[in-house]
Amino acid sequence: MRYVNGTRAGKQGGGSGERAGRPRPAPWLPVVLATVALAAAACAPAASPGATATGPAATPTPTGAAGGNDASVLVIASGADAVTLDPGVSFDGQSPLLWRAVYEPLVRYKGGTTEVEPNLAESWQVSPDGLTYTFKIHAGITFSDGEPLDAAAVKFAIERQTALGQGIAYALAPITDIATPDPMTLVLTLSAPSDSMLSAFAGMYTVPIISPKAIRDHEAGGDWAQAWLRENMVGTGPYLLESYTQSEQAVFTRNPNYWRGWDGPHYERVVVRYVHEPTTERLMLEGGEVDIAIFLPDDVVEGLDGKPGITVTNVPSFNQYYIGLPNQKGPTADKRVRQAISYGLDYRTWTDEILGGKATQARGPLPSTFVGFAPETPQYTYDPTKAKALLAEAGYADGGFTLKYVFESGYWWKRPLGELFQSNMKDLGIAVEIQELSPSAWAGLLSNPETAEHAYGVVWWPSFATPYDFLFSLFATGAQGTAGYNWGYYSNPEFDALIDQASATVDATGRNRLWAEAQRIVVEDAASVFVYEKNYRLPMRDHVQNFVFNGIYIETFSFYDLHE
Amino acid sequence: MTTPPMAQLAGPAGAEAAFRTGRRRRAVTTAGRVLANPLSAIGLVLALVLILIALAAPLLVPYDPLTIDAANRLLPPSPTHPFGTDEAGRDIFSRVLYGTRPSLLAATVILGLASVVGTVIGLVAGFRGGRVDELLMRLTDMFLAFPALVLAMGAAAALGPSFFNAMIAIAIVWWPWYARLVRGQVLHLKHELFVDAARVAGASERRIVLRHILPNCWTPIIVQMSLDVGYAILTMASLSFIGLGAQPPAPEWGAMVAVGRDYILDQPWYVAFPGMAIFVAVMAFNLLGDGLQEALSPRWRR
Repeated sequence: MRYVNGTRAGKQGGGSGERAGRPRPAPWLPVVLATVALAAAACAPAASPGATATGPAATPTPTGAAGGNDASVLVIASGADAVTLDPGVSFDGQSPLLWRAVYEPLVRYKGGTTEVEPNLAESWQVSPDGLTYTFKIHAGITFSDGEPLDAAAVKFAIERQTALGQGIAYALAPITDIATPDPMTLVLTLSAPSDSMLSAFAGMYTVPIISPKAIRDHEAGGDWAQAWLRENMVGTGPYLLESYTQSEQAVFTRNPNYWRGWDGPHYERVVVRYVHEPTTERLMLEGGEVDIAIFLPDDVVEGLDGKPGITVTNVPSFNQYYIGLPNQKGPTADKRVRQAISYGLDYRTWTDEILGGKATQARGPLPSTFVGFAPETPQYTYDPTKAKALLAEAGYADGGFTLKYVFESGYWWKRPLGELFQSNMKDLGIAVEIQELSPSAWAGLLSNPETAEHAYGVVWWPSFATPYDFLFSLFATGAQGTAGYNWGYYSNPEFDALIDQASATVDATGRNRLWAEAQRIVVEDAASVFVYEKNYRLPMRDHVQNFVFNGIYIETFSFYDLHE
Repeated sequence: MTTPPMAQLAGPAGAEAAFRTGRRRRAVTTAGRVLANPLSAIGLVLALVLILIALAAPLLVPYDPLTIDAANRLLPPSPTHPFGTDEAGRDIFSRVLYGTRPSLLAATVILGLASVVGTVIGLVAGFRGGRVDELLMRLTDMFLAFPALVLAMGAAAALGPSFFNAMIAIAIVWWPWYARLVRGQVLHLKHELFVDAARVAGASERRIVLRHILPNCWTPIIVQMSLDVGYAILTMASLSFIGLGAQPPAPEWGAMVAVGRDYILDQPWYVAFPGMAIFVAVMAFNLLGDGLQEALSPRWRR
């Protein structure tokens, strides 16, 4: 199937469906610095932000700072760096923030839903057998270099994506023919129905509609202008890239010819500033220097809640958090041991105490707000007695084995979750050793079947509006190792067949029945610990209007819609 | 201490004995000198207190340093939790007390390994001289050419992040200082009269090095070690701070500061107390080291 051909290796680089991490900088100074600064701060527990050595001196009133208070400029602070400006070649979690200023998808998700609405394509039709997609391109749109947008340009964009074989190229595999019967009509023919085809043209990881002229002009050695597009952007979107310095800042200005026009309130400019210390980022938002702060650790966000002039969103996301378990090796190869572990985790302490009620226990592999979620999916509750009974049944009456939990730097929640897991498992007699690794070492260890034998924290958010995105990537036999993210090496042929069948089922009711069965199986097998789903908590200045959160577009914005 | 003139004539054994008595007597007066200086006295007392805390930690702490109590997370300092609690509800006071253990253990292991390796290399290089000396000292220079912290980070990353590996990594960058120190001492000692006397009396090289030269290297080594304890603790905390040392949820000062810095604005006590512990430990051993150096080194003798 689709995912089998194209690996999602690209995703591993930047953080993937994995929420983009904040790579911790490694300064020495802070040990000393913190000692000194905090000796001072401790004396005055009502810490004034200005007392710390790192942050800019914040004024008590949110006025005076440049940028953030200029109603025509939107300033975003990001704790994690973008990887590339080319939206066709990466699956990282940080770059789409920039892509969405300049590039637009053919269709898009409506508000916070997984429902698709017109965008560059003013309408589309899917044949009843699910094998033909006909898009009608919106007339009168031009790229920022003056090139008109037509069906041929879209076709060229798809061809580039397929030829590069990166990003979401794997989802385009069922396409056998791309036709342009007239200048504004695009017809895709598929070899088999696929319920993620439309998603491939809607999400933030999508077929980017790049100016074909720019690609042709800047192609070098058959690279489809990859080298040039890494640092330049030519799209149809509302903003133009004015300047970009990696790890420092990106500046966008209005595209005067934007096809939706500039009536009504919009930002004149958009500035993204990369800030590598959470506390600094927080102080910038508190001081009004920036309007929105992304990629902050949850506890830092919670500290911002209720601060004057700041609102923090509290809406369901499509992020699902798991503790992966080694299904193929050691005592956890026994289903009963995995079930025991699932019964042994104190979910309520995690969601209600440590996350302060901003999260709920997961019910299976899919977020409860996501398409295809089956509310009847069984759920493991915290029940140490039952857990011990299951362990005894499996021949591990008092536990007596060791499990290693690995996590990578930058994902703040993985450490405390690992510590709770360690503490809970100790009650069952299972010794959990925690180890922190660099992101690349972590991915390398787990994606190699020879070395993978660990429990690990993992978060997934969807790139496509289909359960297949979660179920295949994390649990299918075909997604083991480097082929996907099934790093617990779960393998169940019945499950594999079900999700393939579901994905190719055109009828929604029948499809959802199959998805529900797949969810039941993977929970019954306790393929991983399904820990929690969490509300999206984004801190921003309260003058930023019209932000609508969509879990598929996480950590990005529809800049055109925002205003003060 | 001056050597009694008779000892000079009594042959190698007599000279040796005189040196030893001298040393013993000196040890007593050294302690007196260290205590006489108020700063180094403070250092000595603090160092002893830290060692006591490390040994008696389980008896002193009010809470288990690892037990999670999420209902009481991020509490400010209070009579029940003198240093407050961390993001998992663990008692920071208990964790700071327990933190003396990895720090002192690391300092002991790092300096133990570094001084042994460094001393052996320094003895060989200094005593053999010539090509062996050249080879060993260029090797030492290679290690010294890198910034110590960067080299330790590289070594720790290559070995894989763990407390044990971090200690090894730091020891790897630490031994060259001892090698140089000991070599210098040997070069000076090997022309001393009692060494010549031992050689004339037919003592083997091995015996000369181990019985006559090495015992006279102890003083500078010990001074150097006492000065290094603080830096070793700081380096270990630094590696833990960037995630290459102690692994969570181990109560280690550097690791605690690393996690705590995200809480610096709302819960400043979280990072303040482990930070101050590092400060106190480093200061205590530096004061003690300075005092020892002053008391033992003839140059500084008052």
